[in-house]
Amino acid sequence: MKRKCIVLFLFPVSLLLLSYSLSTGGEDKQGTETKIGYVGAETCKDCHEKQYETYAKSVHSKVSAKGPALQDACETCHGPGAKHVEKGGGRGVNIFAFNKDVDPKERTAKCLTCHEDTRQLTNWKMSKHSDEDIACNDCHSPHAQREKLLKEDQPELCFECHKDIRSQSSRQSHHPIKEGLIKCTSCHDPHGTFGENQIKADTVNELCFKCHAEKRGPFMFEHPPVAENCLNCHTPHGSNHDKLLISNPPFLCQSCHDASRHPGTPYTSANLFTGSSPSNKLYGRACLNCHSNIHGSNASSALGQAFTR
Amino acid sequence: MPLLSSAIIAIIPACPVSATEGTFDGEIGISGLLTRVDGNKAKFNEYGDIMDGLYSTMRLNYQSDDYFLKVYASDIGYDTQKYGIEGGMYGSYKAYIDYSEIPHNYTFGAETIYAGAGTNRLTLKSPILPLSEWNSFDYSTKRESFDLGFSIDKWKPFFFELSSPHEQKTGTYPIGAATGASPSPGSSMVEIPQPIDYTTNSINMTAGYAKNPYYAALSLFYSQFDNANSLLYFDNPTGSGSSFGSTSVPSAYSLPPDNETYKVAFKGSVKLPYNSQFTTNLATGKTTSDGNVLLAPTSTLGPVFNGTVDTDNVDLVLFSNPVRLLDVKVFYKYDDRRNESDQLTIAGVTNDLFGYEKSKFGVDLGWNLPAKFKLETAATYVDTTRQTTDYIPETKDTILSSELKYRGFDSITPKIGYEWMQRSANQGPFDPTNIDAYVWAFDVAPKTQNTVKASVDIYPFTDLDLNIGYKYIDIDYPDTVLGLRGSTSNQINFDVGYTFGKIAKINAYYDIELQNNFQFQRSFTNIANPSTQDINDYNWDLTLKDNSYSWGLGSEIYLIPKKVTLLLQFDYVNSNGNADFAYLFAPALTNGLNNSNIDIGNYDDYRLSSYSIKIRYTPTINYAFTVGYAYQCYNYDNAQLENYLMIQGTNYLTGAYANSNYNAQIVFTSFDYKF
Repeated sequence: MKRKCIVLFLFPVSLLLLSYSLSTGGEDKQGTETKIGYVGAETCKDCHEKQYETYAKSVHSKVSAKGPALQDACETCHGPGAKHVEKGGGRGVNIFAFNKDVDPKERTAKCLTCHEDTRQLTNWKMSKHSDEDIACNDCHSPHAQREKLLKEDQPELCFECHKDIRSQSSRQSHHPIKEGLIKCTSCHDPHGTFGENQIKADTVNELCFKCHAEKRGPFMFEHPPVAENCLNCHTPHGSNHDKLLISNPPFLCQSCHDASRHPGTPYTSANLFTGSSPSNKLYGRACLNCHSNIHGSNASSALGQAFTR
Repeated sequence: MPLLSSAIIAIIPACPVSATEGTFDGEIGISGLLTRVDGNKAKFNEYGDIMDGLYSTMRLNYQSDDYFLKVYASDIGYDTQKYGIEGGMYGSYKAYIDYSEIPHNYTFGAETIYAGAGTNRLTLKSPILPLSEWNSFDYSTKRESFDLGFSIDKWKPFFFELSSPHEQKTGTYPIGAATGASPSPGSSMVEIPQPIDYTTNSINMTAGYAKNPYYAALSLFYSQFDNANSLLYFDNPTGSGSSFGSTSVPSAYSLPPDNETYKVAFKGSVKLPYNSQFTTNLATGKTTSDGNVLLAPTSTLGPVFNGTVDTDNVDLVLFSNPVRLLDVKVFYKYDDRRNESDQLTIAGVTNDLFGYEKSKFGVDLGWNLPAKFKLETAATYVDTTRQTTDYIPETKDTILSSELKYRGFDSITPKIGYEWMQRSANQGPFDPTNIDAYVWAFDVAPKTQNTVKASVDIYPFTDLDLNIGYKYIDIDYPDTVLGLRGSTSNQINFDVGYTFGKIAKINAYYDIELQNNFQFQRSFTNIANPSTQDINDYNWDLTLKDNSYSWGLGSEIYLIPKKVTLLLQFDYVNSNGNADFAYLFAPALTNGLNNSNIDIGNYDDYRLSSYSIKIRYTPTINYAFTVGYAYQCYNYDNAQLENYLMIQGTNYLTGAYANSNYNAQIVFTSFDYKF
């Protein structure tokens, strides 16, 4: 194992060194030449007053942020405007407009010119959004007045595309997403991570344990599917079944457990509270009536092993 | 809260303000609510604290050319209150402090045979109190989170960030314990309130360098979890004869142990020739816990159990875009969980140590084809080995997928995709007399999964936007004899939005998901092999249907443009489940039962209807007055909680999750002032 780790460590390090030798230096080419074709923000403001006002209120206009304010203001993102002015304006006429007609990659590239150097966007290419050709301005607008320049608040913004998640988060058992107490970005990073589905952790359990720290254990008796992946039994956004379970006990438990006595017994309508033979393996919390420590137990003997104490 | 106040005072000097160059803006809102809730108040307020009263929100922003400061507060004085302050200097540093609360209400007015609900000692009176004298309490928890942190970018390209969240979770949660006599301990049980008193303190630190073509960051995460109660003591209502003690000697329940975890990670990225980029993540972590083992079924503490789990994560990703036609991603992901905990043998039972090693590698190819076609193809292979003394197989997954998107039309974007996944696993030593030989746990069982998805975005003109999506998933477990054998899911999502000029805006949605699971099981006493059946050993199957529907309609009608707006919203969520049983050996059905009268027709059925109407008056852009009415109706019908009994034989319950139905009406008015 150790040897494997050393090899896995040395491989990226050697690639880093190799790339350094191949690197062209990455020097910024500071434009010192005359800005031909640029008209300046004041000219833009003459026609686009509302957009200018929102720009002026945003972080992009702050000199300290070393962004467009230190470069060409509006024309940093939209390109030189002289020809646009000459032609009398118009959407996308000789100007770079962030609209659907422009290739999403080109729109994103404009933003990455500055933002690629930031820790927030260094993993952009890891992102499914990048694969799907989602451009920065599909979610953000430098002219928006919301937090992070989002076009809409969460979760509504995310639900515009993730409609299956919108549907799930409305179900009777759900994380408090619609209530606004947690956000999509509490768990996911839309700009890309190394985790599955852009989660902010290397594994699902690592993410869940950030809030559900009591489930970390390590317990004397562990339930393997629990220790491996919470999503074996739970669905994160919403479920028709309590506790975000993918199915109700005892049926969920019997999906894996069939043995003598109760694991193999069919619990039918006859075993409900008012059935002909009520069973505590079905009514109420079913299996969890006794096996409450299903996430792990520090009790000894068969009782701990069966997660009943 | 005193800590928050002092921290806010401390951060303000860090953001020097200059009244001459800065600007203030903000918003203050006050809402008044009158509510009427009939039925289950806990379900209505599952994550809320909606009641008669005044609710306030406040947001203040200050910004100058160099500095910014934001202060916000909402739901002041309620269980959902939130406060925060963030300030800093653009491009140099940023600091924040925030405090928030999240309630989670499960059941109000639960009742127990015990005294002491909410503590770790539950006592019984002998004889057990009649139901009318049981003690009432609420199942409810609350998280109080306090977080502070800062980041420094002053010395770009170097950066540093630190955050230190602290969380306190308190309340009561339902658990249960078997209290019957051996050999059938589960013949009776008691539902008991577990005291929740958790504290989690964490720290995150990252230092790094970010400038093209390099990115490198080293981070540390440390978290400590403390549970104020390691054991829950309770008297056993079953009394003498029980294998779990008697009313004179309390029984005990082991609660989550204290733990600590840390993780160190390096993340790096470098640009390479041919428009390529290499990215890596190397992380190692350790989680430990220690606490005395509960010598069940007594309440005596045994030896210390030292729990230790080590984890390693490695990611290597190479992106390349050598020609405009092609995007390439090659990746390798390795996750290792090694369980180095104590292995103890107590009363003849030894704990297993579970760990796993997962290696995943694959290639994604994105083809930017002519005529605005884009084709995504991917191949992934995952190998998972598991370490445990019980047999859990190694699984090997192969996943192939492709997706085609067309952007050539002006007003329509269609997309279609297909994914094929196959999991192979080796069965353990086959003993036909052992039922385990026929059972596959679905998470490791060999399976074939087919997923088809398609969607189309239609926007024929700027005022209309329409989207239809469809997804079909079919999973088959071909080697499973006993257990989950297959499932299917059909999902349809439909959305439409239309703007009627300056008159109105409407939107509507309709979502369906139809889920179907099929399980094949065996009631087993002596003969394991499912090919033979008798009255003690017979097969049965179960088809679970879990259908979900939701739809809604919303509109904004501009009665007087920019002055008076009428907002209407309707949302409906409906679930319809069914458990269809079939005994495959008729003589096993006795007492008038047959395959037609044993099904459960109300398997988590519910309907949630929400309506709201409000009128917003905005005399100027600075002021807004709103008045409205909202109605919500929730009807829940789950067979497992139907006709709920607090005492059933020698089982004592508390009413957890029972009777969730409610009707709620809210009249509200609000005033918002922006400046």
